[in-house]
Amino acid sequence: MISIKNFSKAYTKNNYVVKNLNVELAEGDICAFVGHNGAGKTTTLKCIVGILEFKEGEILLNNKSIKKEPIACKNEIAYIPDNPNLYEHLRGIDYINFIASVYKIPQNKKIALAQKYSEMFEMTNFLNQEIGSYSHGMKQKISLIAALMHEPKILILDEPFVGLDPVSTHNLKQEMHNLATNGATIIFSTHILDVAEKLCNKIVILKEGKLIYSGEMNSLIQNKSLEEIYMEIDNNVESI
Amino acid sequence: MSNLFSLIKINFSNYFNISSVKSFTSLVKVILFISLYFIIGIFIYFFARYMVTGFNALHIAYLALSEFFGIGSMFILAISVFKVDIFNEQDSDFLLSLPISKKTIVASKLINIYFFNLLLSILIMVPVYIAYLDIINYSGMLTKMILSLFIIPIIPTTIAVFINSIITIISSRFKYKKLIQTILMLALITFSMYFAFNLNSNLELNIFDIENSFNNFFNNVYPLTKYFTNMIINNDLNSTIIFVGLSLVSIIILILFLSIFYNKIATKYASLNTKIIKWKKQKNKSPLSCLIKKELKRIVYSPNYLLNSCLGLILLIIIPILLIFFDLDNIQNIPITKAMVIKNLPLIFIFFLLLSCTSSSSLSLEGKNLYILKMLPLKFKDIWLSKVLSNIILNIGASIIALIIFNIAFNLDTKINILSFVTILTTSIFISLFGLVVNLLFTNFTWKSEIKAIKQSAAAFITTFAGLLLGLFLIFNDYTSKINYIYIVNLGLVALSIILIIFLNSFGQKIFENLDT
Repeated sequence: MISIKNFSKAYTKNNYVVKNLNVELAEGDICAFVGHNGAGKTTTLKCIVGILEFKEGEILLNNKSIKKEPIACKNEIAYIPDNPNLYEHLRGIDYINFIASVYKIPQNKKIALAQKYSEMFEMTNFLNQEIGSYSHGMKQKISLIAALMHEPKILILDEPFVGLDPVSTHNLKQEMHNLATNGATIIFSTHILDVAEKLCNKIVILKEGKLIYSGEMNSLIQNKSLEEIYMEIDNNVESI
Repeated sequence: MSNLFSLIKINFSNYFNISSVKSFTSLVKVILFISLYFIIGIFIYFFARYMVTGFNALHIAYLALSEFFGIGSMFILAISVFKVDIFNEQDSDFLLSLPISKKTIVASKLINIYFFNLLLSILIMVPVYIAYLDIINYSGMLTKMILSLFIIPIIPTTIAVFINSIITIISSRFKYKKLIQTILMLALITFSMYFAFNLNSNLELNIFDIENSFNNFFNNVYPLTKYFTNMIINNDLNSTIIFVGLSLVSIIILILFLSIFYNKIATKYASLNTKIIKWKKQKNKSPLSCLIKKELKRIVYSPNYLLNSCLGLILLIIIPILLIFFDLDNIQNIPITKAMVIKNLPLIFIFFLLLSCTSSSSLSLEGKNLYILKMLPLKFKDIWLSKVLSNIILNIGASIIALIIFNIAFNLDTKINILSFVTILTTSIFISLFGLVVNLLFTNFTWKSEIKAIKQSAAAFITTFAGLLLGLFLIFNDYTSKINYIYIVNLGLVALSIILIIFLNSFGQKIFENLDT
């Protein structure tokens, strides 16, 4: 469960990148964060994960405050950034083992899940290679394997489908659906409105740091496509 | 030519992070950096004054200029060999995709390195020139002195970049590139030390002809010395043309040479291990031990990181090995005897350990990966402990090896061994903590080449020079080796370490949380 209340973030005084955001997501929700480049999506996601500090508002993850109990919150989160910068000097398997140790995943479980996700994302043959030799998509996959391996209750992904091949994209969508069915809360930012429409039951639309819409996908789109609705919203800046 | 100027301009603004200077904190950091630069210059001035006065008494004051010219050039060469990394900058792919010739790209990178070395040249030679003119009182050589400041760094830079590039080109042909690169660099250090020891043991000082003795020695070490001296002191046109001409020609040849290889080496390559993974159970490790393992792998993986941050440790091992083969008492021009080394061994360890600090760049080297530490359920204490402990492990490991070799060379008694070991512990802990605190206050996440974070960042600069000054202060303060001195030094290091730990526990977390790449 994610609760974002009156959240605002400014990098410098009075220069807000996100202003007064309110979002409520329950267990099992898959929510798309949609908006222009520079709308504040990545900033919001990073604040949810605890990478960026914020002063105004509150973010609760399964009723725990990310400001007050960061370690407890992070134990339940998995985050995949838009640009998967990883430790180039480690092999893929080293990075997986590193993450598994930090999350204290039992060995049997680690091997089972790492094997499962390595096969799912077709990375088994590349785990012995240095991350420095990976393509962008391969780095993305290693990030996903490491993130999914500890069975997170909250999954935060920043443009997860960029750079992934079609098979992996399909598998990731399936896995996101499975995790949500098992009670996980998932947020991901994307510019691919088709995917958002098919995969998500909730949507948040940001523009210039302000919340334009937050709620059920079905209530928003009704008989139109998300793309049509988004273009209408973009031309009309009032909140719905 | 306009492409070259564009590249130089973008390199400088990126290097100095011009836009961030507008913030108050960055301005404070710049002011601190400049202040440290001036303080070191003042130290050099007084030392140069002492040398000029001494040589002037023998009516050969100009030899002080020759000596500093040689020392300065060798220092620039030594620093640059381990600092440059022309082929491994992150913007290589991008630059090669632009309509800019490889010669222009290489030239822009060399100018970047030259500029940094120019700052070193000014730092060393300006105080020397001021001391010389103060005592000799002849300003007719001022123009030549100013010109020389710009010429001095060229050949050492050229030689350093050439050596480093050859090593990169050779190692790129092997499967274990990084390992070969490290081995070749270590071989270079060992050979340089052997050369230095050999040179000193062959120096023949004729007290009836000191002038020629010194001139021959300086010219043997660095043959350009005679052209420099003739240019400044005798206003000799031929020497000026040769000195300037050789410098410019050498760098032009280097640019042409490197541009041939730039494409092949600079575009990303990495060893491909095609072995299929075998899933096996491992012992469960604590987050701290995983972080330490990650840090150590990081250090060992990168020859630049290893050799630049652990140079003191490398010298600490090589020097006693050489002392097994060279009799210290018979090496001229080094006013140190075997007995002095034995008596002051703990101080020697302090000096070299203060020059070995991986933690001063360990945070900066996280670069764009910093989010990984921030997103994981890791305590800040574990994060800073891992960076400090990895440095301590390296320092203690290498120092124990060095201590064993010193025992072989000098047959040390138990008291010196115990005292040295305790000093190794206290110094390692102090410098590891100090480096980390400095890096926490002076981070640099915007590097394109890791060398910039390791050697050219404010944190690395402050830690290295603070360590150097402290080491020199402790050594020169104890020339008579008072019995309680080393105990007081150790207590002082422990006290400083405690202060640093309190700082990290009180303020470190907040500072870390505010860091942003």
